[in-house]
Amino acid sequence: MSFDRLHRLVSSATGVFGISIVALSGEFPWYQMVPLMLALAVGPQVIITREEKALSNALNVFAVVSGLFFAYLAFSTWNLLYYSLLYAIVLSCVKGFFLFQRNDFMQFYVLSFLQCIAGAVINPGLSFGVLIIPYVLGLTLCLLMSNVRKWAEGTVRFSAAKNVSEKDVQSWLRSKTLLPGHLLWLTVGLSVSTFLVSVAFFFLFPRIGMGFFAYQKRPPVSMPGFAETVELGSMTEALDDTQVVMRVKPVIGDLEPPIRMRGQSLDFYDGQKWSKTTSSVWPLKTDQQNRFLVEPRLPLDGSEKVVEVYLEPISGSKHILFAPQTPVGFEPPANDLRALRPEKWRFYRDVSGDVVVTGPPSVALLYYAYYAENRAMTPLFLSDSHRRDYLQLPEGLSSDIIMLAREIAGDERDPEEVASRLVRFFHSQFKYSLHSKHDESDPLADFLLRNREGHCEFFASGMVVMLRALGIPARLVTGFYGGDRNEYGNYVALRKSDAHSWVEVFVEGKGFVTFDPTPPVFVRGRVPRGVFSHISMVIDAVRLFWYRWVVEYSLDKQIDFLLGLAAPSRKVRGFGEPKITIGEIRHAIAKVKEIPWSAALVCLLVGVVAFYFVRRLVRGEGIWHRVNRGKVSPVVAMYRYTLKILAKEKGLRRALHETQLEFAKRVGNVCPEAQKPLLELTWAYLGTVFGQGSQVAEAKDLKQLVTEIEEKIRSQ
Amino acid sequence: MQSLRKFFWRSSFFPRKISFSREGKVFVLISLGLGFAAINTGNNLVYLVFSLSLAMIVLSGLLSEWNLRKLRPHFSPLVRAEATKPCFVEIGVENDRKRLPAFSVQVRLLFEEDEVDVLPMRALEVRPCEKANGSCILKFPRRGVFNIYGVAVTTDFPFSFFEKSVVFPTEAEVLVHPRIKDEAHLPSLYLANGEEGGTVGKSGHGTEIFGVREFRDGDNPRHKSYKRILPGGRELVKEFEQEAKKAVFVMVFDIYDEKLLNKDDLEKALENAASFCVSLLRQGFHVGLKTVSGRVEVREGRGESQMWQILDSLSILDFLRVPSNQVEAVFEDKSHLAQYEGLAFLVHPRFGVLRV
Repeated sequence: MSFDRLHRLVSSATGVFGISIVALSGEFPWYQMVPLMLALAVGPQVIITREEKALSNALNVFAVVSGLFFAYLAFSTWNLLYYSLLYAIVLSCVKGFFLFQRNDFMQFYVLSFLQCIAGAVINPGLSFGVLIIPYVLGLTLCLLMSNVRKWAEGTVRFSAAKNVSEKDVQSWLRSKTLLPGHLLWLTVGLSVSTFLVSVAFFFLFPRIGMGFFAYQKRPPVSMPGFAETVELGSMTEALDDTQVVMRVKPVIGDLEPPIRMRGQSLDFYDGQKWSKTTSSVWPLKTDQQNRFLVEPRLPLDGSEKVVEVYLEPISGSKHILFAPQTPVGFEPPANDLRALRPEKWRFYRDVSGDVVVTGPPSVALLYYAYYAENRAMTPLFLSDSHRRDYLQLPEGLSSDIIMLAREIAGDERDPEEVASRLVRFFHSQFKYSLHSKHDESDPLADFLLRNREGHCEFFASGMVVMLRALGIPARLVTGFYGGDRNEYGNYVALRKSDAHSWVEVFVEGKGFVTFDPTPPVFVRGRVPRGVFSHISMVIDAVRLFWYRWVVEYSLDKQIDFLLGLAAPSRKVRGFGEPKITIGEIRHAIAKVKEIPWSAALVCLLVGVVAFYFVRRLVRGEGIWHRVNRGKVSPVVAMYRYTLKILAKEKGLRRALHETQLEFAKRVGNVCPEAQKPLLELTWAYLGTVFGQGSQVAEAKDLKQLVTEIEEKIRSQ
Repeated sequence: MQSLRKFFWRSSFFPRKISFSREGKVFVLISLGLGFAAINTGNNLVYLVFSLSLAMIVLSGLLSEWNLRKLRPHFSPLVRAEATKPCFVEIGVENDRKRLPAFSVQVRLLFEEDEVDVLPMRALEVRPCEKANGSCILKFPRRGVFNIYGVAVTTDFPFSFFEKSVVFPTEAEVLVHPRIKDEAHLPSLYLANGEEGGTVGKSGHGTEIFGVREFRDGDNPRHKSYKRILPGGRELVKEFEQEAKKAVFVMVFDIYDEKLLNKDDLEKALENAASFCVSLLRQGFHVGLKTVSGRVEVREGRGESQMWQILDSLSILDFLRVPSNQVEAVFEDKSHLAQYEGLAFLVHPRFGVLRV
């Protein structure tokens, strides 16, 4: 393959990788990106013989006109990033068709690099991480090949006796395979080195983000069912989506799917949607180990199980914290310094025990959740107003529903037994379906009395209403149930399709007890264990690593690591280890301030200068030299001295047109005895100055030669 | 700025000289912008791309340094050149490394005078323990003495972001002659018929046969005449006629006053004079040269050595500023040319070659 063809192929590939990073962000529709990607793939392969000036002018005009067009679009819609990026992509696609000289290729690569930068802003997903690797490989090879092209273009022009046209240069490049084989190996090594060094820089560069132009980090996952009001049936759409929403990792205790992660409870039903009666919250208190207690009167006693939860950013006005049943405490990650700054990380709970956390929107959350399976859900007793909230029924509730509830409960008065009967009733008489239709005027009545098909929301809503009709306080709870175990990441992944609703029934003295009326056949997460599922698990585990260690890499992790370096006995903190305290940080800062920085800087400067001079001394180079003339070697100095002697003693001066050897022969005509040593000295001089001729003699020999010449000249 | 640049290139304090290419400047600007954006947004992926650009810059520096190690230049000494015409200098570089090649190497001569146009010698690859030879093209814009102060070995490997150079100090001078115009017919414009030369009717070393005589010891045996032999077998040798000495004297203006004559006029006249002399010498004339001011005089002679002598003198000739009346006087008075035998020409800045 000729050099030109290979260069164009690699340039195409690099351009396609660059645009793919942008395309996979989801910001641009596929019908825009696909033609542009095709153009980038095909463009550099097309070789057009051109009329230089005409095409160049046409390209410039196109760039200006299209620039004005995109500027108009950008400012009229105030979507500057979108249209700027689209302009850059269109320019690079057009430029791809007009790659002639090395400068054209370099402009193409600059546009591609700008696309990569834009991709970093708009595409935080794993696709960026995957595509950046071949992009770096391709870009490195492209730049190396451009270097070769630059050499080739220069050489062709250099060696031509007359003016060379652009066509001649291009046809010469197409006819040759210029790339030495080992240069390709060098490229691979160089790409790997570039990647490794950039990773090192990435982890070491201090994160001192000032956030003036902060851009949202990741697009949030839309999750109906976790807002402040939930319309009955709104979760239907989510139940078909397999996007991962959270990953739960056991820290203390085991965790096998299906797992139940409780989100929020809703107590007011108006016949169409569920909401909370009261939205007032209060902050959770912490214990001595900075763990946030759901119920301050119930401290953690060490028997609790702990899970680490990584929650994807979910759209909504608040961050609901999900936890296994009966959560008793929460804790931010041990190396998260935000824990020490209350304004950055605060846990709140409401009267129903739901826990939320403040923080910027669209940010993933990582936290530890403590739970005790046998511990009762608080509160153990209900006040009258709360009891009323949990007995609320919608206006115009069908009497048939009440009768149905009474029929099923019979004479039983125990709330747990009544709830169990209702659960058995739902399991046996109803069918789980994601796609059933219900009467919009009263969907719940339609579900309970006629249709008897629906998904978890209907089951849970129906049971809550029926319990309340029987005078038993109950509430609807939304969360997740199910999950797949990912053995590669050692966590359970919960997806949107695992979203679930169930019921909590209040039992005096026990608190709220969980009941799930949905037939168990619905439980998802039982994915087939085939090759594709394993691939999917690997991808998800890599995705989690990508988010935690790249996208969300933070100053906190860096500081903890550096503090660990300062005290070798400490290690990077994990779960259960004492957190970094404010006192430790202040102590470290105070120690840093104790160092006399000005003195240290002066010492450093003196050290550098001293090192430089000592190095020159050790190398035997003179310290004092004429800077304008550079180093003077002994041979040159002695030759000049000899010329001075000849001029002074015999009036013999080398004419400008005379070479050194011609001059030596002329001296020989005047003083034959001095010719031989003078020739020897001249050859030594030529060897030093011009890099040719005999080897440079030692200083001792040269001195002897000069002395001999001097004697011969003076004696004559 | 130029003097600062020269200082940097000659200074041993900075052993490596770095200059940014256009792509390098763009890349560094983009990197700075990336760093600013990364710090301001706190976006880790922008940090990643910034790290990538930093890594490329760092590796570029390391690899270019490695590429330049143990490279040694050499070049053939250049003594003379001609103004405005490309001059080729044999130049090369040797790789003293045992295993690793060097890539994208350029070697160029460094002149104190900035106006010299230097096209460096390029080598894509210099294998270990091998030499790469080539030519460096020099173009001098004017006549005079040009000083070489070093040889620079440059590389832009691997990414062409920067050009890193090592300067090997050296000292040499190049004498640049005035531009010689290719007008071989020039003398015939000014010489009448018969003035190109002839013979003088006596034995000499010309090309026309004068006669034959008896062969004596010391005669050139190639000139023996085999058509006739003297009685007794004595051999004859041809004699050649002595040619008339074709002597031409050229006078050149070296004074100016800005009003009547300026330096540009004199430079053009000097070029004409040099071309004229060279044409005459190539046609076998004896040529002598003198300046109007009398400061420079070259006795008449012939052959290549005379040509170099004349051209060397014209190369370093400097012009003298004088009052206008002196210039006028020279225009009027040509008596100083009358003393010369043979043909005499004055190369006038305004009127061209004038026969005196």
